[in-house]
Amino acid sequence: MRGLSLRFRREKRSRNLRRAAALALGLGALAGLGAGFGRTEPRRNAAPLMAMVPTADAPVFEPDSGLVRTLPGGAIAINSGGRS
Amino acid sequence: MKAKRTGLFLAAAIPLLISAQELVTFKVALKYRDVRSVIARVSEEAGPRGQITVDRAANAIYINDEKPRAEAARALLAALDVPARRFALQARFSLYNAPKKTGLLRDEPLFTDAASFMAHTAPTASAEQVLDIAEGGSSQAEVFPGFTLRASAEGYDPTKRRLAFSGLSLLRESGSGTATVFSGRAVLPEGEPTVLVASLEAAAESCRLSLTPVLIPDANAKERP
Repeated sequence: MRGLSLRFRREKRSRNLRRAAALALGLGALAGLGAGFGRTEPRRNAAPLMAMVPTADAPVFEPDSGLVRTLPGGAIAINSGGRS
Repeated sequence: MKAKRTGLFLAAAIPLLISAQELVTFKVALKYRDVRSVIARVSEEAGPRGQITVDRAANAIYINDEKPRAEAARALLAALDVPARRFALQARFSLYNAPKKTGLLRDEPLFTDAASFMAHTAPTASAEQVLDIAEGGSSQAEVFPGFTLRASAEGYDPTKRRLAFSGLSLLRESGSGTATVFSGRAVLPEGEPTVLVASLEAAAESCRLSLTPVLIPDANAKERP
């Protein structure tokens, strides 16, 4: 009787473990499906991009130091004053 | 007589009434861009009666202007409010060896020497390099042995096709360390080369850098209706 009871307890424990594993798998799959539904585009950053758009009067090149001239051919000549 | 006066009054008033367009207000909430990054550009579209207000908390812009101008500003915002675009910055570098007496670019009156000199002289060496850069990102590459180009891209205006750089610098590595050939802010036209010429520390040398930012099309971008 005692042996049967032990076997019974072992079987019950293993059955419970299987049930718990199946339940966890099922819940995980449901959560995954729930997170996937409704998202049609990739996740984007929460912070919007801070990248200044140039205005019409912004010069082609504005040196940190030195002088700039537009050459007859349209090239920008830079006479850089600050060399380190 | 009275009817004639009324007719004259109407003839004068109707064109005035037509020309004075009613003001409309649009609220545009931005998804991808910070309102501060586009406000200066959008303000350029405002008319003399227009008013543009920013709601930083909601990242939204209120446009109050005559209808055509307000709609133009709204369309501009729609064009600007997209995820960061990517560009291939094509850099072509050429090195010139000028006679010392030319003093190329050393003094202000000699600026124009660069154009005539480079038009009639073949470069001693040339190289090409492409930098992959995104709006708001930075990139650097060796455009020629010993010369490094550093670029920090800002925003792109698709209506004017111009890409801003908060930093664009050419550095030269030598035995004594790193020297800055030039450094500054730039706004370059997309798809067109911009040529920058500069003298190097050794008066006998100067360089020519041609930069062309090319917009890389986004394969995942959705067509706007």
